[in-house]
Amino acid sequence: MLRDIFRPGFLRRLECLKIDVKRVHLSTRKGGYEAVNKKGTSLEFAEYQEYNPGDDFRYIDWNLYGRLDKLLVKTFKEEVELSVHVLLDVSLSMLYPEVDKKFEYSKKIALALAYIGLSSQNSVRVAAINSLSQEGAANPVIQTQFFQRLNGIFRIKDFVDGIKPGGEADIKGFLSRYIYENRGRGGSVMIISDFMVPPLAYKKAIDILRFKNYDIKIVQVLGAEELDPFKNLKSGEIVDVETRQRKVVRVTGALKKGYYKRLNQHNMELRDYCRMNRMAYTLARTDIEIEDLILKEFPRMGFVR
Amino acid sequence: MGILSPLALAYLPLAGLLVLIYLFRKKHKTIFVPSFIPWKGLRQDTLRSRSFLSDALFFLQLIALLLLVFFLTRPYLPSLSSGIIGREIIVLMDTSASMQTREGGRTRFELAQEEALKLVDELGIGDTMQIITMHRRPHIENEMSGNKPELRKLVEGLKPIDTSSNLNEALSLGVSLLGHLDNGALHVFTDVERPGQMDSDVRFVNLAGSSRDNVAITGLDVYQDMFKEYREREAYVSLENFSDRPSTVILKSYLDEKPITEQIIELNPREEKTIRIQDIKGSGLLKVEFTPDDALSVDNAAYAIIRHKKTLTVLVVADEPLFVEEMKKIESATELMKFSVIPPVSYRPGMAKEYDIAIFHQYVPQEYPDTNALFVFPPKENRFFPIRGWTRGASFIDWDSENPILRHLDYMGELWAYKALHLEPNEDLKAFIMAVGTEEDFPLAVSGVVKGNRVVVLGFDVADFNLSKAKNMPILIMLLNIIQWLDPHGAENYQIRTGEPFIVDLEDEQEGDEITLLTPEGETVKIDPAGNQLVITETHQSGAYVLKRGGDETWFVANLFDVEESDIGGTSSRQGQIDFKRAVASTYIEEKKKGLGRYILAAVALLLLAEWILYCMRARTAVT
Repeated sequence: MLRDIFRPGFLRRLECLKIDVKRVHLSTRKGGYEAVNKKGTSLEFAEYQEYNPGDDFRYIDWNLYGRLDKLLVKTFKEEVELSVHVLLDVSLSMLYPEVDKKFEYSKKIALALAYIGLSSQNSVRVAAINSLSQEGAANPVIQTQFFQRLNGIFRIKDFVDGIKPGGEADIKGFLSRYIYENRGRGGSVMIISDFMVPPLAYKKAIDILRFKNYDIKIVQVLGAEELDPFKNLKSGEIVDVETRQRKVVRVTGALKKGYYKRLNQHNMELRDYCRMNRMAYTLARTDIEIEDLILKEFPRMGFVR
Repeated sequence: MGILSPLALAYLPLAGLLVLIYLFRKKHKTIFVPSFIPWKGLRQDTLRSRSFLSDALFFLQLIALLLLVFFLTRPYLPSLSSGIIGREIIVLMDTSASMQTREGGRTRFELAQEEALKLVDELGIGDTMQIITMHRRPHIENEMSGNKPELRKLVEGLKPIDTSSNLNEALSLGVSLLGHLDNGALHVFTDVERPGQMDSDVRFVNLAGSSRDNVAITGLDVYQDMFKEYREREAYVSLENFSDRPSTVILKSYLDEKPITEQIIELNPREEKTIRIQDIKGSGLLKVEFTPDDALSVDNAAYAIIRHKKTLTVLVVADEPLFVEEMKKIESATELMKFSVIPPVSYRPGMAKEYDIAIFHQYVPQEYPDTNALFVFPPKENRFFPIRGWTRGASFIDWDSENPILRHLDYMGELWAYKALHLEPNEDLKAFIMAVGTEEDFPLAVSGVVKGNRVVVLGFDVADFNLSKAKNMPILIMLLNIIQWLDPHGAENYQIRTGEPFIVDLEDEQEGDEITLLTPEGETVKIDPAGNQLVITETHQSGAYVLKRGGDETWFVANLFDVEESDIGGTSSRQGQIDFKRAVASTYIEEKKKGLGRYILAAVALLLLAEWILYCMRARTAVT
C-alpha cells in the first residue's frame, strides 16, 4: 500500500503539484498536456522563427516580410502530452553505506515523483538504471510501461519494490538503450542516483539526453554516513562495493580533510554541470524527511511547481 | 653443538602462534563504501597494508622467537679438558686447655701442630686444606686453600687457649663440611677420646700420651654478702688430684699480689679437698695458686674479686612506730646499711631514685618508685597491686624455697599472720608465699620485676612481728634476704669461666667513652658496645681482666674450672681411625660444555632493537 510509505496528507499535497518543465518536448501521444514552445496549433502565440523549407507556409507573416524582407513564420504553443521518465539508479552503491538507506530513500523519491506526474495526468514510466551483464553485454532495460492514470502508481510501486540493486552503474550505456527504446517519447527525465561515478561518465550519459532535448532533472541521493564516514572509523580496509577496489586507510586529520575535499569537489562538479546546462539539480540527503524534500526542496529547485 | 634441554623445542609452535597473530592482525576492519571517488588520491596506510610475506617486522620477530626457543634448549659447544682432582683435607685442631698438657718435652698441641704440618707438606698439586680450631666453639680459620706457605703459617700461628672443648659440635661441623667434598678427608687432632664409630674418611688422632700427673683448682668461691665486713669474708678453694699417685702441693693465696695464706696440702690419687682461706682484709684481686708445677699449668691458679665495701642506702617510708623500730634494729645490726625514715606525707615523687632501695609501709605512692622497692602491707586502694580481700589470722602454708628471698629458710609452717592480704599475682609478680585462712589459700607475698626494678610485696605487716624474738627469726632472715635481693649491686657477678662472655650494662652517661679491655696477658683490646650492653667474648685466658670506660675500671676474672680438661689422663690412645681411607689425587678428563645462552640473548636484544627502529621509521613514514 502506498500509504505504508506516504501519509495520506502528504499524498494529497503531492496531488497539488506538477512536474516543472523548462524545455520543448516532442510528443505525439495524447494524455496530460503541457503548453510547450513548439510550433503547435494552439491559439497561444509563442514566437517568430525563420522559415524553413517544409514549414507550413500558412503561418508566414507576410506583413513582417514586407517590412523586413524576411520570411518569418509564427509559432504557437502547442499543448502536448508530457512524458515523465523516472530513472532510478539500482547499482550496488545505492545500498551503501547501509545505515544511509539510500535506495529506500530513492524509491520514495521515485514514487513521489511518479505520483505527482500521474496526478497531473502525465505519462509516467519508471525505469531502473541497471548495469552491464556479467559478460559485459548490455542488459535489457527494466522499466514499467507508461501510466497515465493515478492507479498506475500501484504497479509502479510493485515495480520498484521488486528491484534488487546490484552491479556497477552504467549510466551511459543504459541511457543509450533507454532512449533507443523510448525514441520519440521526449519529456522530462528525472535521474535519481548517488552519481558516484566518474564525472566524465555521467556527463557523457546526460549529454545524450540533452541532445535529445529532454528536460533533465538530477536528484543526487547521499547519506550522512557517506558524507562523513569517520565517526566510527579509525582505520580499516575500504572496499568499493561495485569495483571491489581496496585500500587500507588510517584515519588522520589529513585523510579526513582530503575525503571531504574530494567528495565536495565531486558533488560541486555535478551541480555546476547541471546549472550550466539548465538542469534542475538537488542533493537529497537521506537524513532529510522525504516530505520536506518533496514539498520544500523540489519546488525551490524547479523540480515541481 | 648440542643442547641440554631438548624439551624446550616444544616451544616451537609459538612461531605458529606468531603467524596466527599476524594473520589475525591482517584482518582489517572492512568498510564497504559506495564508491572510491572520495577516497582516490588519499594515502594508503602502508604500514598496516603491507603484505604479510614481505613484512620485515614479522621476520625479525620470528627470528627473535626462534632464538629464544633456541636459548631455552641451552645450547652448548662441547670441548674436552683434563686436570687433577685434588684432595680436600679438613684439619680439626683441638685448642682447648688440656692441649697445653706437656708430654715429655712438648705439649699435646705442639704434637698436633707437627701432625698438621706434615699434612701440609704432603699436599700435592690440586690438594687443598682447611683448618678448623676447636675449643668452646669450633672456628673455621681459613677457606679451603692449596697455598702451602700460608697453611704452614696458619698452623704455626695457632695457640691453645684456657677453655674447655666441645668435640661433638666441632666434629659435626667437620663432618658436615666433609659431606660437601668429592675427594675429602677429615683429620682430627685432639686429646679427647674418639666418640664411637667414625666414617671411613675421618682420621681421629688422639694426642693424649702418658702424662697423668695433674692437680687442679676446680673451684674458688668467696662468701662476701653485704652484712659481712671484710674480715668476716671467706674464700673456699677446691683442689683435686687427677693423677694416679699422691701429690703434695703448697697452696698460696694473695690479695692484690700480697700474700695472705700459705698451706701445704696433701692429696691422695683422685682426691678432692676444699680449703678455706680467711683473713681477707680488704677488697681487690684474690689469687690462689699452688706449687710445684705439673703437666698442665693452666689449672694451677684461680682468681676471684673481693668487692669493695659499699654502704646500702635505704629509704623507709613509714609512720608506724613499731615498723620503724624494727627497721632501726636491722640498721644497727649491720654496718653496711644506712636507713632514712620519712612519713608517707613527706614522700615526693622521684625521691626514691636517690636510694638503692625503698621500703614502703602501709603506703603505695601515686607514681611508681624508680628504684628497687619493698611494699609491706600495702593499703587495699592502691594503683599497682590489686588486693582481692583480707583474712584475719592466716597461716603460712606453702613457700618457694628456691626463691633467693627464702634462702636459709627451710620451714615457715609455724608462722602466722595477724592480718593477711589476698594479693593477686600477675605476669610480673609471682607468689613466693601462700597462706590459708578460714577458707581457701591465697598469695601472701609476691616478687618480680616491674618497669625494670625489682619489687617485693608482703601481704602481712612486719610490724606485727617482734623480730627480736626467736620464733620470728624467719621473718628477720626473710627481710634481710629481701634487702639483699633488692640490692642493685648484689647481682653483679665478676667471675666467669674462660670462654664465657662477660656482659656489662652501659649507663647512658657512659655512651661515647672509649672502652678497652686489658687481658691477663697484658694485651689491650678495644671493645665496641652492642647497644646498651658490652658483651666481651675475648675471655679465652684465665686470669684477671680490666675493663676501662672513661675513668672507671671494672675488674673481672676468668677461671677454667673444668674437670674434664683437668683430667688429662682419660683413656688415651694414639690409635686413629682403623678404616681410614686416605684420599688420593686422581687425574680426570671431562667434557666441558660452553654455553651459548649469553650470545643468543645478546642477539635477541639486537633484533628487538632493530625491530623497534624499523617500527619507528615506518610509523613516522605513515604519519607524514
